[in-house]
Order: sequence, then structure tokens, then C-alpha cells
Amino acid sequence: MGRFIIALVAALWVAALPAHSATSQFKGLSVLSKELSARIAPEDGPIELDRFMPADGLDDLVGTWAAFGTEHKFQNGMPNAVNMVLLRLAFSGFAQSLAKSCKAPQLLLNDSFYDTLEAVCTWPSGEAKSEEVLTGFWLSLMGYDAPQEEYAIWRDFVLGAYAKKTAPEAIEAMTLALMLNPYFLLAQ
Amino acid sequence: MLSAVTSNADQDRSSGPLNATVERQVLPLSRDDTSPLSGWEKRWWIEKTARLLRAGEGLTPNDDIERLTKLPKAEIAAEFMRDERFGDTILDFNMYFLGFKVDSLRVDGAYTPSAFDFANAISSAKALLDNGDYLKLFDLEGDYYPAPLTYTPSEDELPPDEVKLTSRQLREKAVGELLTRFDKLRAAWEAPKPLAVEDFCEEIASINDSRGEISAELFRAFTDVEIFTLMRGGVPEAAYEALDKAENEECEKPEGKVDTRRLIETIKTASAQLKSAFAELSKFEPALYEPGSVAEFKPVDRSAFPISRTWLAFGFEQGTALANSSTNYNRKRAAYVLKRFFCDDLTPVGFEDPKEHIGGAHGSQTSCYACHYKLDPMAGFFRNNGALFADSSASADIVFDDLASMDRKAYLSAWRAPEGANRTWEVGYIRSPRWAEQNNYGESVGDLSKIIRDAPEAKRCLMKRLTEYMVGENQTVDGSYLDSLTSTFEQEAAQNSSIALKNAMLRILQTQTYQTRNPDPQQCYDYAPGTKADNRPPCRVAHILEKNCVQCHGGKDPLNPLDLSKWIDSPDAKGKTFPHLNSQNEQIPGSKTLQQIASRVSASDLKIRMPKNKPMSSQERQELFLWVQKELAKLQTE
Repeated sequence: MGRFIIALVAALWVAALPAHSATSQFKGLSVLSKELSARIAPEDGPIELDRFMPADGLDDLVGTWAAFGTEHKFQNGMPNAVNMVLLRLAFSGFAQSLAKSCKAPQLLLNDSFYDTLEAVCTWPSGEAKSEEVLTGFWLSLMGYDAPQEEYAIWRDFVLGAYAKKTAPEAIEAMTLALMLNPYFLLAQ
Repeated sequence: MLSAVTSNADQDRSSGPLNATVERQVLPLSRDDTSPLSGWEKRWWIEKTARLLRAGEGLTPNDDIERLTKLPKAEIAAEFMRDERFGDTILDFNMYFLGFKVDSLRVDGAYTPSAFDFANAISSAKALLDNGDYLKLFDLEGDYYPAPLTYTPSEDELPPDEVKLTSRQLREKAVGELLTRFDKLRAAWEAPKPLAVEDFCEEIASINDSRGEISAELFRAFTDVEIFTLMRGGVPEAAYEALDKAENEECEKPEGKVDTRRLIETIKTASAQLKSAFAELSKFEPALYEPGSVAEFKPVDRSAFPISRTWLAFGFEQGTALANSSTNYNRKRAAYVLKRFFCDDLTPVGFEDPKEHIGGAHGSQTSCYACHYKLDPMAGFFRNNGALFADSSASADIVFDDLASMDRKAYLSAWRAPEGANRTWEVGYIRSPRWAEQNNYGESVGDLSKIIRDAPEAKRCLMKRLTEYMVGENQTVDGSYLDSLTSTFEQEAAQNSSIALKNAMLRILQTQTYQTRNPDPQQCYDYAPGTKADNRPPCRVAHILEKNCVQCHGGKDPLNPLDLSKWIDSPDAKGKTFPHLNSQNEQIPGSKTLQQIASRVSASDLKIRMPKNKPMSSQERQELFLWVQKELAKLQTE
């Protein structure tokens, strides 16, 4: 699975490069957590992505507003090798939790997303691969942040490389590919 | 589902702003604002706008996106602005404007202590929610909003008898201990068998002698921020000072002459003030106070504190970040005000030589004076504020954040106005060291607030920061657009600054910059009405050139060989340049033209300095100069 994901991420990244300027910065874990929470978590149970970071305090390395001189600046927001690895680890953890939630909930999810996830959990059934379910899954996590073409690339990847995989494998890959998309990661 | 989404063509028609009285003043959009976006794109705009106006919280399953897509954009934005989370957005923006934005104002739904630390940001956000005076953001004095009391000491910090106490119980115990000292002092005198006057005086003196330890005992139950709040209100320092004064004046007298009634009244007053202050502070116990929205933030009742006159808006974080050392004489605070309220980064370029010898620190060094001419007079507004912005106007000495102290009179002499200046203090917002009539002089922090409120630079700075906040810090915005946005804001703010700000936000939400996915940071997408963008110099500087240079260098005068209104390919095939002809009517290489511009703009010799005999703001001079330097560096690497 790893090779597929890397290939997909590379493809998405390269495809998105002309649109995302060299000055685009990460949104930061705090913002991403808030966005995800609004989309898939219940009001009283927000998703804290820093929980999936490999160690405490590392969220400072993936984009944060912090004291700099006499003021606050957005720091460590430019993508580099270290913060990409950190995000990859955090998102993998989140994607695995989501994948495992088919059997037993690992995360607090709102009813709307739970219904969507339930449908995807029947993968590789035809229902799970339907346009409605895949769009629902994409929009639940990504919202409308990415153009429609991004969805189409992601859908084709999932329907191709993961057509016959198990639900946990497919969900983990779907989630990770989506979260590593620049439209999800970067401030526009 | 997808096909349904894409086929939902958007017939959006952006309507006017939020208030009918200012509707006619809306800037026309620079592109056809009635052009339909695709359903997906409209949803993207809605989601992005929801996130912006609801403090980072985008669309949720509870939002009826289908209904929203049918509304005009202005109405959608207005709906989001009515949401109570909009208060968080404004507070967040205000903190960004002040240079202290945080990742999130809330953790687990409750506001973090940082959210309470910037009093003017809160006053202004609260005012905006009621369509009140949003420009309270520019007030450096006013209400103060303590956070819910938060101190929770770890067990190993506490003695065994306090380990089981709750935070509130610990605070009550520490406050009780302090009040008991004063009560005991009074009781010792009011007892049936009172102390001898000499012993009574000694008891009073002992409190003063050990004020450091007594305060430390009290402060063990409070956070640094809470201690900062107490100290701003003069607790417990004012009580010690009153006792000290009474004891010094009475106990030195011969025994029969001591006014013991005065002593006992002083103790009673000090004790009553402490009780009143702590009673007020106890209203901020988290069990009693946990605001759920900015509207619910409440100011402390300053009249309950010994120091009840207006408090500074600078909170604990600014207090520690903007330290006043014994060598910088408040210049750090001055630089902060210039940067945050006037968008002046203090990059000295071709300042106006005052044509006279300037004494004092750096005075003889032209390059240093280029900043100090505005920095030092601005610093003077804070001349009465020592460490942590503490008011030292009533003290003989001033104590700095580096713990040094000095005689206040000697310190204040740094800001005495020169003879014949017609003012006491050389304190103000200085635009020109040469033409005093361009400057705004004042004396107090209150005067500074008024200067900021009245200064066109501050309103433009506000619009600049608002644009940065909404479309991204690195996005280039055309100067003419910014001026136009500012001009409309100024007109509307004269009637109602909150509506003016909301309308400004609404305008930015409908700009092409905001509505373009991943806009190119180097490109301008929006211009003031009537601006022709074709063949213009890069938008970063075009407006500055138009404003300051094109009148003479606009290509209309055949005797003037430089045309700064056009941007053409350089004849040496190295990038682009301005039309610039030599005596043989040949185009001069771009690098030479740029070098000449840089030297003319940065010269302090009035004979060669440009623009000739015409003022140009230092901010614009800086921006033009820095852009030229960047272009030159680019040419060198090509």
C-alpha cells in the first residue's frame, strides 16, 4: 500500500504545484483539527490531531502561531522534509483509527459522518464504491476546499488500486491520500 | 449526487453591504460580480467564508448548504456575521492586528487565557457585535478583562496542609492571610488593652519591612497574569504605600504628637480597599465566570481597586514582550506602536534631513537618526510607564524591566521639548523632522490613542491588515485598491465604524483575490475603480509611483527621459524595466535605471532626492526602495 500512496501523493502534489505557489504554508494542526472537527466530529467531541503526533510538542514544527521577538508569527509553516514526515505519521495514525472504526469506534464521530463511514466499511461492495458514497466520504473530510478534479483523481485512484482490498486497507489509503492533498494541508 | 452538485448553476448576484445607509458607497467589484460560479465553486466560497467568519469553524452537517447556495453572497456573509462565533473572528483579527494572533482562542470550548490579554481587542470586538465603536481597537487605555482565575498549583509546590485545597480554597486562604494581618493590626490598637504607640508603630513598620515576603505568600495562589492584574490595580502595593507614608509621617513625631487616629484610619482604608479588590476579583472564579462568547466577556470594575483611573490596554504578554530597559527608554514600545498601528516597519530610506544639528543618542549619526526622529518622540508617550507598563508617575524613581532604576526627573528630561518649541514635551507621532506642521504632538497615552484614531495611516494600516488576514499575508494587493478600500472605510467609519468594518470585510469577500483558488502571491487581482492594469509597472509599486512620481515621470513630457507609468521589456533581454532614454534616445539597461531610482529615492541631499520638493510618506519610500533592491538582486542572478 505504501508505494501506491507515495505515488498518489507525488502525483497529486505535482499536479497541484502550479496552483499552489512556493509561498504556500501549512494550515497548522490546530486549524486542521478545527476543520475536521466541524465536518466529522460531534459538537462536544472535537478531533485533536496532535494526539496522533509521534511525540508531545512536535505540533510546533508543522505550522503554529508563536512568539517571535516582540510579536507572534506563523512559524514552521513552509513544507520541508521533517514536517512532511511528521504530518505523514500523524495522518497515518488518524487514518488507521478511522479504518479500525469499522469494527469498533476509535474516534468520536458525528451521526452524518458515521453513516457515510458505515457505507464505506462495506468495501469492496458495490455500494461502497458508488459515486454517492465516495463523494460523501470526500466531502466529509475535505469539504469543498479542493476543486472537483481533485476528487476525480482520488476516486479513480481508490477504485483502481484498492478495488479488491479490504475495507480497513481501503479506508486507510483513502483517508491518507486525501489528507496529504495540498488542498487539505496548505493555506490558500 | 455529484452530478446534482455540478448541475446546480449558481445565479448569485452579490448585493450591497449590511446597512442600507451605506449601501450606495460599495466599491464596484473589479470583475463581473454577477458571473455564475459553478455549484462546487460557490460551495467552496461558502465554506471558506464560513470558516473565516466563524472563527475557523467551516460548514458542519447542521448547515443547510443547499439553502445557502441559493442566497446572494452578501446575504450569506451577513448570516455568518450574525453568528456568535463572528465575535471570535473579530477578536482573532484584532489580535492579529496587534501582532499577537494565536492558533486558537479556545481549547475544549473554553477561551484560553491569551484571549483575555488584549483589552482593546476585546472592547473593540464587543463593540462591533453591537454596531458600536469598533475603533476602540485604537484606544490604548480603557476597560480591562481578566480571564477566569486559573491557577492550579501542582501538589509538590504546596505544603502538606494545602495539598487537598481546591484552587479557589487556596486563593481564599492566601487572601485571608493577607487581610488577617491588617485586621490584627487594627485589633491590636482597638483591644481593651491597646499596644503602646511605639509598639503599634513598630507593628506597622514590620508589615512594610516584610512586604516582599507577604506579597510572595499572597501570590502563591495566583498566576503571573493574575498577579499582573492585581498589580495594575495597585494590589497590594497601594496598601503598603499608604501604611508606609502614614507611618513615616506620624511615627517620627514625639510620642504625644502621633496622630493614632490617622494611623488606624489608614489601616482601615487599606484593608477595605484590599477586601473590595479581592471581592471584585473573586467574581472571576471559574465557577462564576466562564464566558461562552465574546459578548459575554466582562470588564473588571476598576472602582473596586486602589488604582481605579483608566488602565492601559497592554496586557501581560505585551507587558513582558515590550520591556522597557534602562537603555532603550521605551523605544521598543514605540517601535511596536509604529509597526502595529501605522504599518511603519522603521526601514529608514531617504528620510528628510532636519537641516540642523541633532544632539543626544545617535543624533549625529544620520543613518541612526533616520529612525530615531520618530521613534524617540513616540517612546515619550510611555515615559511614565516602567517595568510591565507600571505607572510610575507618582514615584520619585522609575524601575525598568531590567530591574535597574533611575531618578524619574532625569529620565523625563530625555523628552523635554527644545526651547522655543511651544510645547513642554518632544512627544508625538512624527511624520517629518523638517516640517513640524505635518506632525501630531501630544503628552499622554490618551493623546496617542486620539492621534491613532485620527491618523489616516492607522486606518490604511487597519485595511492592510484586514486584507492580509482575509486573503493571506503574502498576497500582493494593489495600492490603489487598498487606498480605495481605506477611503470608503473612512467615510463609513465617520458614521459607524463597526458597520464600516463589516462592509470592508464584505468587499474583500467579493474581490477576485478572495474568490480565486490559490492566487499568485505576486499578482494583483483587484484595483480601484477606473484603474487600467495593462502595461503597468508591477502592482506592488505602481500605485506608489502614480502617487508620487508619474506626475513628472509619466511619459507626457518629451524632455523627461524616464517614464515610470509603463513597464516594458528591457533591451538587454534581462527582465522588464521602465522606458528610460539616454541622450542618443536609446533605452538604458534596466539595472541602471533601477540603480538610479534607488539612489534618488534614498538620497538625503535635497538636490538629488526624489520626489523633488514634495513630501512622500516614509512607508511608501521604504516600499519602493525595497522593491527596487529586490528587482536589482533578481537581475544579478539572471
